[in-house]
Amino acid sequence: MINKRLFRLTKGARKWLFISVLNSYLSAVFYMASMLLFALLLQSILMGQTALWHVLFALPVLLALLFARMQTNGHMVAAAARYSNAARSMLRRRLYEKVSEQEIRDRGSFSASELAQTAAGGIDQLSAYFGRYIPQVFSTMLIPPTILLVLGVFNWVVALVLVLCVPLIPLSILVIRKLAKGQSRKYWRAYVSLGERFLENIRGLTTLKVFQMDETIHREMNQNAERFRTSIMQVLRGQLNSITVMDFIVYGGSGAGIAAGLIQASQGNLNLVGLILVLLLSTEFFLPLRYLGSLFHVAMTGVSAAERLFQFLDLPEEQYGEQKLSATSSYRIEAHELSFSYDGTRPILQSIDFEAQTGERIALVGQSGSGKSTLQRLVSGLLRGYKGSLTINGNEWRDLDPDSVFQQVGLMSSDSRLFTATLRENLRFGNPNAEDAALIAALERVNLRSFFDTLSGGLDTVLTENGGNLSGGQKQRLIMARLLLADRSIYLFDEATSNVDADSEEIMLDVMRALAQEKLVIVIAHRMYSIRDADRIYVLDRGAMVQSGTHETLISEEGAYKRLVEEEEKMEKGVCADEKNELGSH
Amino acid sequence: MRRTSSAVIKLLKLAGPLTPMLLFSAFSGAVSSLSVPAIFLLGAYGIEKLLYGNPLILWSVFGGMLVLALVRGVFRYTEQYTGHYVAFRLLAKLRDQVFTAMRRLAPAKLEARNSGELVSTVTGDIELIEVFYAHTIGPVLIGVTVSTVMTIVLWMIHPVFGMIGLAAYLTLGCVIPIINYQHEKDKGTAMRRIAGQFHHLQLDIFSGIRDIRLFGRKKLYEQKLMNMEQELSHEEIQLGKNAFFLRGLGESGLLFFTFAILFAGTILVSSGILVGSSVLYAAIAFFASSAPVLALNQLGNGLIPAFAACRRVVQLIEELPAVKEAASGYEPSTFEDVELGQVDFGYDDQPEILKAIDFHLDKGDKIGLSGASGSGKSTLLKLIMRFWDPTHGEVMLNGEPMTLIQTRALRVIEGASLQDAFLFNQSIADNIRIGNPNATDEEVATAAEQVNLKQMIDRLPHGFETKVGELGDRLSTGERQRLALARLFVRDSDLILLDEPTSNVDRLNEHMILRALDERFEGKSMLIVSHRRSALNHTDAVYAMEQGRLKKIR
Repeated sequence: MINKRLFRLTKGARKWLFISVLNSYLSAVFYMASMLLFALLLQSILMGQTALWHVLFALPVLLALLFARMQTNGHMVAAAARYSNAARSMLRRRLYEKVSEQEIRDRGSFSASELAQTAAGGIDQLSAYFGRYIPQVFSTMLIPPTILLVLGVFNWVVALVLVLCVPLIPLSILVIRKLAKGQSRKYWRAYVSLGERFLENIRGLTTLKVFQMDETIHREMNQNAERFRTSIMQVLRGQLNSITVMDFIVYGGSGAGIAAGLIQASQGNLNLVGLILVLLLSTEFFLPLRYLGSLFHVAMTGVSAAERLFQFLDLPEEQYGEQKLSATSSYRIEAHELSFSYDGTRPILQSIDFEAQTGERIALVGQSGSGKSTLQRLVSGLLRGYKGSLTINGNEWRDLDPDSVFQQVGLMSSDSRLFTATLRENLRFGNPNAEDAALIAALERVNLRSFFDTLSGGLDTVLTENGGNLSGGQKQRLIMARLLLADRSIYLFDEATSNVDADSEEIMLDVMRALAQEKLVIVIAHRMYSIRDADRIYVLDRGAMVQSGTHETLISEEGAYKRLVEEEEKMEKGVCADEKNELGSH
Repeated sequence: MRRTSSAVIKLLKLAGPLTPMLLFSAFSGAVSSLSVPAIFLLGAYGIEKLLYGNPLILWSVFGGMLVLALVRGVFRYTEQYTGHYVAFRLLAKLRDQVFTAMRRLAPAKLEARNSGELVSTVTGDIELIEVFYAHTIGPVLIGVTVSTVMTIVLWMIHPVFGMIGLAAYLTLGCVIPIINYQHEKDKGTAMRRIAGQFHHLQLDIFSGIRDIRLFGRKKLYEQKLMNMEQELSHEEIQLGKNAFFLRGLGESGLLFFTFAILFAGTILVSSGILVGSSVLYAAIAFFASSAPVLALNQLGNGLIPAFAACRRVVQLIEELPAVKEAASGYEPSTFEDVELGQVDFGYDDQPEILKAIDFHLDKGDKIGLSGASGSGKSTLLKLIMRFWDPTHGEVMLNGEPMTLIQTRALRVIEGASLQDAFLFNQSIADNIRIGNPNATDEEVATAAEQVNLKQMIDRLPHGFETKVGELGDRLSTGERQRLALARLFVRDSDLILLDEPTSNVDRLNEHMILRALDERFEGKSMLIVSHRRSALNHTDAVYAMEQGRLKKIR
């Protein structure tokens, strides 16, 4: 009925659930009291014993009951909302803690965007689960039995008849659910995707028109809509049966209760007040159950959303140390027989040796899949769980507190992100205390000053999602400026220039060179020409460190490095020819 | 107001053929709703019989109840079924109409500054109208029918009851929903706004979580998250309370009016005008008939926005396009030349961005166009594609004025890659095939190779069948741009128009792509708009656009 794990999560918020259910129960009690009042009045009217003072006496009682009911309803809904909000907030916090303290190792099945979608969308889907479904489960367990109890006081046979009808409701839901199982969710998804396609096709209409695909797509869309409509109507035919059955049970059941009441009354076992009360309350007995039934799909969506969340939360934890990395002016990183595997079986890095120290610009090259990025994640302190040794100033990485490492190590990659905020806020992300002048100076260092001057909003210019209103080169240079403001001792650049134009690349490479004067700079490169002048180049091939040295020594050896350079030179040839052309024409 | 009503009328016309179905749905709903008071009246009938000592015809009472319960169930079914039928039909129809309109209005309409907003409004509007037509009109009709029938029934018992009933139905079905609407209007929009912002904040934070971690900003962003969460939670609780207050008001109203019937009944009975059982009938009939009226409480909120949506959608459907596409006319089969003569152009009421432009591009020419952003170089390209018509002067293709050239034929001749090339959430192969739906797998693979994406795609578990959306941020901006460019390679165009084709692509990739373009379209004509020298190096001549004027620089 209730997902145990989700319910367990709400431990600290159960007070609100209790208040909500209690108020819902009180509200039902007040309702029953007013029904009793009506039954009494009707009885005296029917028996011809009525007098005006009866009614006048009843009015304030009724008003008091109505007032009380409004109050309890308000508390009920507010408490339910609080419960739901608290529950979701706790889930969100858990998730945030998990991912802000942990590197998600399994990047394949949990991409950053999926994580974000699950966090934002998935948790919201639980709103109705906590806010409506769970309180209703408890209310349903309490209210119908109370009604039964009240009617039972007047006559137990009537109560028994009503009880006998109850199992029919879940039973019928179950049967029909089984019939429509699997189909409903599939078709719901089809329905949603129909809407998404429509939106997408309007967004991309310019593209479609340029390539004259608009008519084809339009026709396709109409066909899909029609196909979907015919099939969903078929499914609906099955599903709507549950409405018929449920309504038949609710009202047929009430009828049975009333009929039983009439028989009992005719035999003198039930007085008139009781009989009228049966008439007024028999439907009320079934309604909470019916409402709960209509919330089942809410429960289903909630639980399936939660499953994905729990998968996230259950990901194995990285083991971090607690030792603090002390700040000095000079750092030395050494790796000795360093090996790493994500899953314990497939080796990503195998017995790697390398060293780097402040004042050096070190390059890591290799084809994609060679383990470069994993090495970057180890050195930046995100990943642990390696074998062998990886030290910084003699401290073993696995013993270090990651936050103290992050204070010294700055990382920038091709998937670093900007935030939907002002330019100022994005830059201050690097250093919250920086003055505007320092921010502008940082922009100047990455050659964004002239671009900045064209912005009418200045530092208050708002960037759209992940710098959507910037070009690739501008975005990466801005991220670089942000990193410079953070002023780290060790800089890691992981393919930071892979989506930027030639001019931006040149500027960024210059900044890296300048940084290496007094800092330690490690560059993971996708282009050989960009690291030709590095102090030392390490070449990775399928997880192994196959070569190391300067460009001059490596190029004279037969090996992976030479192959990579030659491959690139083949591409480069044309560019050089063109650049010569250009010189000639000027 | 008149505009609203005429928009609604137009919309009703649009949904015209569905009206009988809709009426049938409402009829079914009314029957199923009325069967509930009928059941209880039968119960009251049983009580009356019992009370006055008549022999109880129990089986006919109980049998009647069962039949009515069945009627209730069956008609609920037909109501829901036909209601859904109308909804889905209408949704498809509206989308079809809007897409037709957008096809007519694009690309100019989508080029406008707030087009993103327009697109999301339009999709939202369609859903609102669907809700209005399929889930608002029905309940209103049902509510009105049930109220009318029940008022008559009450009136027949005694006119006083009829009047109480009428007052009650008006209060519960009209007054309270209107108050409800007034209450929720602003709050609701405010909450949706905050909810939207919160959603975006979460997306932003969780996407950038690694940077947050690396820069030690965990606390700061957790705080941001919590602050907004609290703001939203506060709004939610307020809104929920309000909604429930009004719902409670409806229920209380119901009980109050029931009481009024008892009160009036007491007077009528004690003055000997009515017998007690009539009061029982009246009270039970009224009490049991309230559900469809109370349901109207939950509708109020959708009504006014739905009217606004009607207006917007009808306006869109009737809007005249910026460029009237030529369905017939000169059908060029090859490209000879394009010529701009003394062309002036400005967007809508903004100052002119192009002034007295003369430009000529001959068959086989490869021309580059440079200039600062906003200088109008992309605009010139769009005039050649006839996204817009010039304010003054003429654009001619093969010596014929653009306006006389069949637009479809123009699109065959021209192959373009625009700045914000759109990727669809289809497979990679299908995205490339946008350029040419008949391209073979081999041609698609070759195109991918020419934009240097083949290796990357081959590494994906599903290769060319991988859906672009699933890749999410694993597809970089540069790769997206290159994927869109691949469309040109599967297509035979005489005139290639490129707007910043390599803005997010590194030097070597840029070079490879441009060389591949050169090879693929050897002897064809090309116009490249770019602010980058590296891209312009591939052209025979370069023009610069400065303050709306064109200057040859190479």
